[in-house]
Amino acid sequence: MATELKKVKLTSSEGTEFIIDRKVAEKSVLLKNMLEDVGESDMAIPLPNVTGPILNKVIDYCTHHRDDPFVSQEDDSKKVSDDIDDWDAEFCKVDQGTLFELILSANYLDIKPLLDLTCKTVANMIKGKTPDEIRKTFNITNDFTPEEEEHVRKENEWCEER
Amino acid sequence: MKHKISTTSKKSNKKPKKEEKINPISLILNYIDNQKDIFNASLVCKEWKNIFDNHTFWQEKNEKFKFGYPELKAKKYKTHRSIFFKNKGKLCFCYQEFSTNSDLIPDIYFKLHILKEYCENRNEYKGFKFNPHYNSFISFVQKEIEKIIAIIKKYYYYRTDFFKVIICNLYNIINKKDLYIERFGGFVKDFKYPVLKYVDYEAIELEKEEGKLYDLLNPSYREFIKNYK
Repeated sequence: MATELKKVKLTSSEGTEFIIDRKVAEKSVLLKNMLEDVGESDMAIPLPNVTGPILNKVIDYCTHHRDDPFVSQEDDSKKVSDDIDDWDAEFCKVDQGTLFELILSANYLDIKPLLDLTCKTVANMIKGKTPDEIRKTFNITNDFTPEEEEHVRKENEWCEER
Repeated sequence: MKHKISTTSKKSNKKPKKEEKINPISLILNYIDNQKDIFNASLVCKEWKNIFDNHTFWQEKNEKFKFGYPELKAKKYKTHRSIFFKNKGKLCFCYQEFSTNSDLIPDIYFKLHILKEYCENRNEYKGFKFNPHYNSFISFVQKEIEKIIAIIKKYYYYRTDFFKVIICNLYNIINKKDLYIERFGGFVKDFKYPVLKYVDYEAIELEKEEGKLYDLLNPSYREFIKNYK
């Protein structure tokens, strides 16, 4: 109970300070381990890889899911499932840039459920699409020569499950 | 006493990940289970292709075929992908040549012979695990192949797509999921002998006239296309 009341200070890459409940911060394995190492401290934890707006989103996510059971790294059972609940689906309605930054932040902060959610969201944008459609979705230029593309196609065809 | 906090945790022994430039796509590809989608993603651009080349996909393939792991001191074969392509020649005929798509009757004939030889030789491979189902299965496939070779010899001038359908059928049986083929052997788990539904041998024997046989084969081909497209 005592830990729930404690606050933790986080600093984003631009120096913006965020004060959050320790329980919320502990949704991040990186922060949880660090807080355990450091013990009691009033110092702000610098997060040089996370910008303010992204950290704000991450905190929103962790606050909403603060009471969810802990998901271990090894639990991959839900990795490829497509079910995303309504709040999470709404949370992911952001531009692609933000989504990619959220993925990197979730990976850096070691928040597996957030990483699962954001990666699944982008994976769903890829699933069932041709390379051309994927390029259009992510605004990517095809830098393969026709010969290189044919070579990759042949390799892929060769490796397909039979 | 105040501590200076760094984002390196002693407990997790993790270094800050700032130095490592991670492409989010490398993380996202882990969430795609369909092989076709992974392949399509690898065709998007060179950067995505490079990520795919280092994907766990290759490791899984190598584990499946027991091709081993890259060695730290290796000069040439440092990645799982390179290990896979180094060893692919060791795979059996079905895995190596299935995708070839020749229309020529001699090629088809040759394929059938290879397939027959493959079935006959399976028992002689090292590490073969004896399973009664396996032997029955091999006999079954061999009989089917013999029938087809006889048909090819007899009706050499008939449509090649008909024979391709038969070969695809045989390969599909051999590569069925419940038939686990290891590198040097394999076994059939509770194999139920399928009927090659696209081939009605008795009808072929009865219908000697070319026109009638053509009508007989046509629906088979349509059925095949419908199921395998």
